[in-house]
Amino acid sequence: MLNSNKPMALQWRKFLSCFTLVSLIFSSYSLFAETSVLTETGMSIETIKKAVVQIKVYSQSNDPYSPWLSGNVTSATGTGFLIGKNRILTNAHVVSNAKFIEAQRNKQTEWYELKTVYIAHDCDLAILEAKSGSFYDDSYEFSFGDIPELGTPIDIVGYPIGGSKISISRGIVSRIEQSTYAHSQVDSHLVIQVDAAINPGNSGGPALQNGKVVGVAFQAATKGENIGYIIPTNVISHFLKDSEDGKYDGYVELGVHVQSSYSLSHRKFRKIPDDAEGVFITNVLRGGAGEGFLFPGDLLLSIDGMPIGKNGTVAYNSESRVDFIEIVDNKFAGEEIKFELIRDGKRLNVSFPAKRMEDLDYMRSSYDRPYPYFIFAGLVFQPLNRDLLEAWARVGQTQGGSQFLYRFQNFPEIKENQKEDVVLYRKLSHPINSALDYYINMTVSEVNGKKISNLNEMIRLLQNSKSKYVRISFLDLPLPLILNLEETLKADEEIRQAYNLTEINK
Amino acid sequence: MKNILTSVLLSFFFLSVEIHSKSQPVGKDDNFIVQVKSTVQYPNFIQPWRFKNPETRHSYGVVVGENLILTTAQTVYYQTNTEVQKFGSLKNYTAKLVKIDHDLGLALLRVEEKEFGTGLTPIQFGSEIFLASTGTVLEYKEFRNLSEKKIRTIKLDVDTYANGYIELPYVEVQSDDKLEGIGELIVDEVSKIPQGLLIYFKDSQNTGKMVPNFTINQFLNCNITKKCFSYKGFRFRPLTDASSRSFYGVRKENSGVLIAEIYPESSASSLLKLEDVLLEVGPYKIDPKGYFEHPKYGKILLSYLFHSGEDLGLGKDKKIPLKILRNSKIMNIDFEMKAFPETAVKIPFGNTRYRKPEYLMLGGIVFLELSEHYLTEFGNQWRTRVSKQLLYLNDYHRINNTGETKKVILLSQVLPLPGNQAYHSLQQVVLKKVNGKEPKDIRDLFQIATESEDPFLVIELDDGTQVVFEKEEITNLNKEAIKVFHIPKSHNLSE
Repeated sequence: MLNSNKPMALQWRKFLSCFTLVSLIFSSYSLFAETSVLTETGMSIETIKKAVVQIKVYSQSNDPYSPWLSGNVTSATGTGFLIGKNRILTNAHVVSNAKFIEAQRNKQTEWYELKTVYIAHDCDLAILEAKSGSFYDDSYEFSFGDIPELGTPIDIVGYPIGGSKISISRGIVSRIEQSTYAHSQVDSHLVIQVDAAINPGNSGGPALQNGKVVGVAFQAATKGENIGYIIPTNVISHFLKDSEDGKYDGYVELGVHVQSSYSLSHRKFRKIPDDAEGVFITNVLRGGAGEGFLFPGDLLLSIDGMPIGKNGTVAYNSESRVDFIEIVDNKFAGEEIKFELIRDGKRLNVSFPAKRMEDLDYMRSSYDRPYPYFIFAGLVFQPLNRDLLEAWARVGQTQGGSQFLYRFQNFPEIKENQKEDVVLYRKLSHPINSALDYYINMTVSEVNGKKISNLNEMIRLLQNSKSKYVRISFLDLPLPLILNLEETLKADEEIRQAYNLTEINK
Repeated sequence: MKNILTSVLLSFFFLSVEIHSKSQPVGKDDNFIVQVKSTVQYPNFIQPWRFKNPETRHSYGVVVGENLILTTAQTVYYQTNTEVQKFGSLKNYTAKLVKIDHDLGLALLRVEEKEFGTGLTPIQFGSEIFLASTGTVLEYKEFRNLSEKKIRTIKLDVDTYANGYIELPYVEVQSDDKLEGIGELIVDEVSKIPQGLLIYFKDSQNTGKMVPNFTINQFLNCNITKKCFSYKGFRFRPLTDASSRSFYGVRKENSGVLIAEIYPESSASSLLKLEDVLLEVGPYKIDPKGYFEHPKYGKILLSYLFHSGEDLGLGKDKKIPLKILRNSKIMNIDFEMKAFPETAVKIPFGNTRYRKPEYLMLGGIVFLELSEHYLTEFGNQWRTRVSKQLLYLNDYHRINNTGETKKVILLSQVLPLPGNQAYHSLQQVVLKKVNGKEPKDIRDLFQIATESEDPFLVIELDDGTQVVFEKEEITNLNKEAIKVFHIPKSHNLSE
């Protein structure tokens, strides 16, 4: 019979020797860590500490469901870093709805007040500045590197989960792709996926490689652990360049929907030569740069000379392909977009200036602004936007949901002349509106027989109404809502007092 | 399935049912309750070439004539085989469907074997119900155990049954006993006169719905080639707020509802207009919430006067005098009742009405007509799973309000084959045009697709996507899809 204790003793000795070795490595690292150079970061931790900033924000957001009430004052922390000209780069979501921003660098004892210089909700970036010059004493400013290569290591620096000490976590670049930015929930730009945890407080912190910033940490994966995302330098430099003239204009949009050109019959029907690749345009959206220049059925062959594949991608670098929209994404308002295309069997070159698409503003999550509303006979009207839709869904509203959702999701396609959808989504109860529940959760179409295209127009029509009765019509409802104007004005005064409304129209 | 439907339709045409009604109490030893067991196989509304697992449904039946059994429609919907067992007998008799009413939720069966009637005493339903009173529910679970349970009848009103289209009378019942609501006969406790059939019961609330005897009679006595119930053809809204009443010129305080929706090709379509105020139906004043005062049963919704109302000299096949207010002026009109205009329905909702879902495959791409049943096939969370456009259409555009008979055709799914690779990601998209034409329904799409002389079939979808096939390609891809995905044929439309 074997002595079972013998192998166990051998294993224990092996473990002890390993442990000693590891301990030695660790202790030597911690002894010299303050001054050592991190291989991937390419600079000393001391230098990093001089450039990275902990940001504390006191914010107050508006409640879209009760737009006449002020919201809670909350506090949160984030990270930023110095990029030159005393500017601090961080995420827009760190300072959105901020009432007061302060910051501190490593070894500083005071908190310094910051102001927002530029904020870009469409790419979740913001530039801040300290009001006091002493904040910048003994500081370091990062410079930017290129988009990191797949599989390369990267260091995420920040102040996660509210800790006051700087944290560095290392990850590997695991994917580079176009993805929707959670802050606006609409805009899609390039993102870099890193297999490192990005936690609250990390937001706005630099991602470093070879001593240079290659991205800004901004969001974590909702599914899957230890996956974080950073905003790459092409998006950052787009933001910085856009702001150079003292004003941030925002991203441009081509405003087209496309389909692949894999189908041989489709190509034959459209008289497309065999050697041509590209994508067919299915829809040109109102207000996009392509409106009036591109048409459904066009086959887009190339953009700015770069051939577009049958699946809509262009060669981005030697290794990967990205959606051709990425080329438009990197442009600024006014810059030319050049397409080679086939229309009605003929090859054409079409060029037109890039421009912002205002319709998308209604589809973004919005910040730093009150929600316009109008209360009439206790009925609360507001332009439909993402924030209202989300708040409305949170309070458990379901009736009318499909009309709101469908119209919101198809905003640029179905609202031909409408700037916004005005919706009646709740009422402040009063005897004058006790029989009007039928109209709640519906979209306004007409006031006194006149089509309305926005809230201001509706308010103007209601306020200028001279007739005894006001008729408000709603989409998909055959019967209008009728109000006696004189009684409504009287009720409005009672409603203003009963519900402590300082303003009934804002 | 086709055979079953054909036999049902043939039964509608050739079988004649004559049932006379005279209210009579049921005797203690009368044998009139049977058990109905039906095997049903529901179609799959997303993939109509497939069927769901056959399942068995049990209900009670009441003998209402020679070898005729009244039971719930739910029991025999999509039936493949229906058997009946009578009290005290172990034998199962095969029953055939004679007629079914989708709005009332009742069906009539016939057993062909003569000997079935031996020992059975048909019951007769009267024309009056007792409110509020106590009743007895009669049921039996095994072939020799008859049980009686107590029930209270509370009120008579009108509403749609099991998502039918027409509002019909029902009696709200309560019971402390556990009931099933699958066709139990309810008789008055004292007089033993049949009051109706229980077709719905919710244990947790101790309440249910009984089809009253006079409505059952309307179903039993109607000509089987026609619809048993007429439809008023409009929907109304209460007119309770002072501003609206004054705006529409309603002076009297106690009457009037607003006409809110008019069904094309219905009784109302040529007579009523939106925003008319309906003041009186026959001699009955309509209150601002839409109720009238029934001399026996109290306040009931006005639909009773149109859809039932025989006891008041109104209802089916009658001209009903209406008093309305149009542009603040009083008008009297004679309202002629018609059956529910099925063509007015753009997106079928509620009851399947024994409908066979149809499909058409073009190049391995499946096209269907949108129905609520298609959407509900996506499970309990269907409202969050289906396309928002389809949900919106289903919620707000069920009726062809324009008067044009048109269905919503959708590209439901693509059966992925190498030849239709360009379209694999398409699903739940509304069809707009085919070769420049807007098909009215799936049959029209089939016709355009098969009769077109063009070398290409160009399918335009609502989102702007174009699907293009050469004619021969469609045939080849369909053949391939049939083979690969085990689909019986490229469409299930009757030629």
